[in-house]
Order: sequence, then structure tokens, then C-alpha cells
Amino acid sequence: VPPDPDQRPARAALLAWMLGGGAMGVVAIAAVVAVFGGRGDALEVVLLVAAAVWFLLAAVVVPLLRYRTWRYAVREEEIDLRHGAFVVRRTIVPMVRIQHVDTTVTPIGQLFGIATLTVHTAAGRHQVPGLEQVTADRLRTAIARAIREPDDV
Amino acid sequence: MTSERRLHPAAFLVHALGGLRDVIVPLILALFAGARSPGSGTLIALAAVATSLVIGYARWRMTRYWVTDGALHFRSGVLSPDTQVVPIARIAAVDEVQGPVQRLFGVVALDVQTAGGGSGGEIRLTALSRADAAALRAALGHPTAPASEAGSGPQWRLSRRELVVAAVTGPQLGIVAPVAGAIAAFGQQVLGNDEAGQVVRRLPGTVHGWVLLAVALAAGVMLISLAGGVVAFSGFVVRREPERLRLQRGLLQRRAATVGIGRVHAIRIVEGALRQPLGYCSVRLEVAGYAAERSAARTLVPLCRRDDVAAILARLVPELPVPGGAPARPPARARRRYLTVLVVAGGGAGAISAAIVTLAGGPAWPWVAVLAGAAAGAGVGLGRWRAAGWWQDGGVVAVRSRALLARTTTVAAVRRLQHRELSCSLPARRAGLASVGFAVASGARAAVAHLDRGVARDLVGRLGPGPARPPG
Repeated sequence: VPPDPDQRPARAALLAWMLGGGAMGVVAIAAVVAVFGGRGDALEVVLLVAAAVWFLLAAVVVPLLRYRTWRYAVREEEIDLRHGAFVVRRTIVPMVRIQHVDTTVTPIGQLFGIATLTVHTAAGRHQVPGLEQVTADRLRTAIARAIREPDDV
Repeated sequence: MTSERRLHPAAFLVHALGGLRDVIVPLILALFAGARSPGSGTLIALAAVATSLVIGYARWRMTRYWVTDGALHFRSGVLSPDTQVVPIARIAAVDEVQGPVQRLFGVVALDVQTAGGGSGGEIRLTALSRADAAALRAALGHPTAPASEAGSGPQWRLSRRELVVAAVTGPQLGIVAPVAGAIAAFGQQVLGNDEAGQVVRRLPGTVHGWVLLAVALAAGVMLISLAGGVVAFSGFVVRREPERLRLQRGLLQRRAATVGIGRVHAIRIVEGALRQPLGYCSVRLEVAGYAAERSAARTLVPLCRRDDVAAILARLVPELPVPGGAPARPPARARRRYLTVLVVAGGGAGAISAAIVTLAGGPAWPWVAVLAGAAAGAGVGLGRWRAAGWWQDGGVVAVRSRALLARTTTVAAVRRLQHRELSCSLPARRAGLASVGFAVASGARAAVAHLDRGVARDLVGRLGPGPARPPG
């Protein structure tokens, strides 16, 4: 087995994920207040608590776990990904199987200079989230050069 | 062949009938609605037929195909003509289809399949004369079988007895589902809400009546699936030529598919719930670009004895030898891992349904539902545990597993795996276990769960593509 991947997401990615998740949580709380606000009954309290818990999960817990568990490595022969908090999944994609590669930037990612690298194989796609934009561009160029010889599916 | 060519004029009728089929439900409704004033209903029907004919003719007139620069070009569309270009090197298979209309005119339809295509052909040429089809196939590098070779080379055909067993044991759900859906939609549209209420009132009120209804429904589904299986697999023949497999099947619609052997990334031996106890299985091809096809389109062997499958495949696809002997198994301590999650999930589902029934005022024996759910979970888990196994020998890896009911053995070429995976949950990790999975280019995945961690890492290491291919 190749050695475990050791590259981590950029630190700015943690902030980007927290902001993105937090925004969703705020929307959830606002929706509860807008629909059930001022009724003061048990249902409103339960829904508010649920929305607050969701905010906490989406804004803090999930981004932290994601940041701490994601590892990747781009080697000459393969791309190696490992992630997951409860179920740890390690995926190895041979370089010769990659059909094409691209990077995407979300609006929040743009703020923090964060991009996602996506490699496509005949069986599906694999994403490396939370890369600095320069890193993502460098990896995309390197992978694109390595796969110039197309796979014969 | 560089000149632009038209389809055979029979395409006109195929397109017109296809257009009519699309509007058949509204059309029937219109006729129903027009029952009180027959004149308008007939008028609507005539208008629909006339429109279909005009559109069919226009589509035939506007459709052209030609081969240049190593690519098949296909121009179609009435209002906004559009040209599709498929490089010949990307063509995974060329299927020949003969529906009733094509048979009437002695022409064929060609489905050109590529690795990226969805269901059906990437390009479908609805009607070509035999000569045009042969010329195009030759130009695309998927030539028609020469008549002299028809008898030579390894081949396998489905016997009549096997056809019946295959149809009875393997419901062609792909056929049953749309038929049932169409009937339901039709019923809803024709009956409307009031009448649907009357139907509900007419439903049986006794246990006796319900049992009769269930038996009648089951028999109906059985008959439809039996007919579907016979229609799909009647006359099934597969021939191996040096570079390709040639598959023929179908009663009403004759299909002849050619699959380049290089496009076959894996084969799957599927033992369905009804077939495994009888010692039967079917074999499916995993071909890049065929993932979205109905299961019949990917069938290499519709039915054979499990004991014969290795010998049959050794003749048809010697590139992917079916491993003999007993598979390597997960360690005994992994057994409870197969059970725990499913027992808990089954018990939980039972508890939820018990709670709903109790809240709705039904009989309150919640523990029965919980126990039944847990038992069902344990049954599924035990089935998975007993099925789990793997083989790895040189360039071939095979994994045996069970989903809900069917036991599946996936045989794949190691050097063509798209990715491989090592995964484990935290409790499994503490027990020193890990799961191994892989994907092939059709998108199919296979995995064997809860191996010894060292064994799993070793297996993942051996599933690499090996040394890089030489350039050129």
C-alpha cells in the first residue's frame, strides 16, 4: 500500500466552511422565527432548539471534523484521498484512469481564496475540497499534464 | 464513406408512430371526452395522426449522417437542426435493433453507444437498409458478422427450457414498472377523483377478499414479467469473435449488439433470490457507457447453472477467468459487524412503525414489530456474512457479496479498475477490520466488508494498475 496521504486542506478553508455552514444555520433559525415567531408555544421552542443545534453542527462541528480528517496526496502514479470522521475512507485513483480534471470556486471560497479540485474517471468523480486557489491550479495543471495520454475505456 | 446519407424512408413511419405513441394517452382521453359529440373526438384523433405524419416526414427529411475525419456525424432536428459528432475511437458498441416496423420493411435501426452515453444509443439511426447498415458498420469498425463465420467460434444459446426458467425466476422489472405506471396514470386520468373513491369503496372488506385480491395481483405481475422475460430473451445467442462479443435476442424486437471485448471491464454473476436455491445464475457485462441501460441490455447469459458458469465464461470471455475454489473469507470475529448495524436498524424501523400504528389506534403489540424488524435485520446481515468473500489471482480480482437478496460475484481485471477504496468505521477499526472496494468503468462498484486490516491493506496494495503503460 502506498504511504498514507499527508497533505491537509488550507487553514482558510476551515473559515470558509464555517461561514458557509453558519449561513445555512442562520437561514434555518430565521425561517423558524419567521414562520412560528411570537407563538410562544412548545412547538416554537422545540423548532428553535433544533435550528440552533443545526447551526452549531453546520457552523462548528462539521467544518472542524472535516478540516481535521481530510488528507490528500497527489503522486506521480495516483491520487490518494482519505477523509471521514466516523467512517474513514481512503480512495486511491490511479493517474492513468483520470479522464479530466477541473477546479471550482464557490462565492464564499472566492472570499477566502479556496477552491475544490475535481478529478473525473469513467466510474465517477472525486473531489478534494478546501485547497488554496494557487495549490488547486498547480495540481490541476500537473494532473492535466500527467494524463495527456487518454484512458481507453 | 464521406457523402451525406439519408435514413431509409421507413424511418418516416417509425418517427410518426413514435410521435403517436407519445400522445396516445391524451388522445384516448380526447376520444372519451368526445364520446358525447363524436364529431369533435374524431376530428382531434385525425389531427393527431396528421400531425404525427407531418412531423415524421419532416424528421426523416432533415436527418443526415456521414463519416468523415474519423468521426460519425449525425444531423437531426426539425426546427433547430443539430449535428452530433462521435469519434470512431470513442464508440463502445453498435447495436442493431429490429422493431416490428423495421421488420415489416426489412430494415434495421442502429444504436451507436459510447462510453459516456446514457440509456439507449448516443446516436440512433432509426432505419437503414441492410446494405447501408453494413456499409456504416464497416466504416465504424464494427462490421456485420460474415455469414460464413456464423457457425464458427465459441457460442452459447439459451435453450427453450432455460428461457422459461429465466422468465419465471427473473422478473424483468424494467418492463413491469412502466406498464404498471401507465395503467395507474391512465386509471387516474380516466376515472378522476369521484370514481377513484368508488373503486376504494368497492375494495374487499374481508380478509378473504384481500387474500384473493393479493393473489390475483401477484399472478398478474407474474404473468406480465413472464411475458416480459420471454419477449426480451427469446432466441438469445451470444457468439465470441476474436475482438468482440455478438449478442442477439428478442421476440418482437430483434436486437443484435456487438461489444468490443476491450470495452468489457468486468462481469457479474448474479444469483437472484429465486435462482440461487435452484442452482441457477445469470451473467451481466459491465461495459463502459452501459451503466444506465436496462438490465436485459447488459446480459451476457440470461440463465445457466451456477456449476456451468465458469466453463461457459471460459469460452466466451477467457480474459476474465472466473476463480474456482472457495473464496478467502473475512475473519470469524467480523461476523458480529455484519449483524450489529442491521439488527439495530431493523429494530429501530420496527419501533417506528409500531409507534405509528399505536398512535393511529391500531393493535398495540409494539414488541412484536421491534422483534420482527430486528430478526429481519439479522437475516439480511447473516446472508451478507455468508456471501462475503474474495479471490485475487494475478490480473483478476473477484468479490462476492449480497445486497438484499441477490448474491453477486464481480470479476474484474485489476489493471482496469478505476479506483480502489479502503474504509472502516471507528468500531471496526478498533476490532482491527477494514473493508475493500473498487469501481469499474461502467460505474459498477463492488466491495467486501470487514476483512482483517492487514489483509485488506495488502489487497488494496495489489489492486494497483501496475507499471505505467508504455507510451504510444
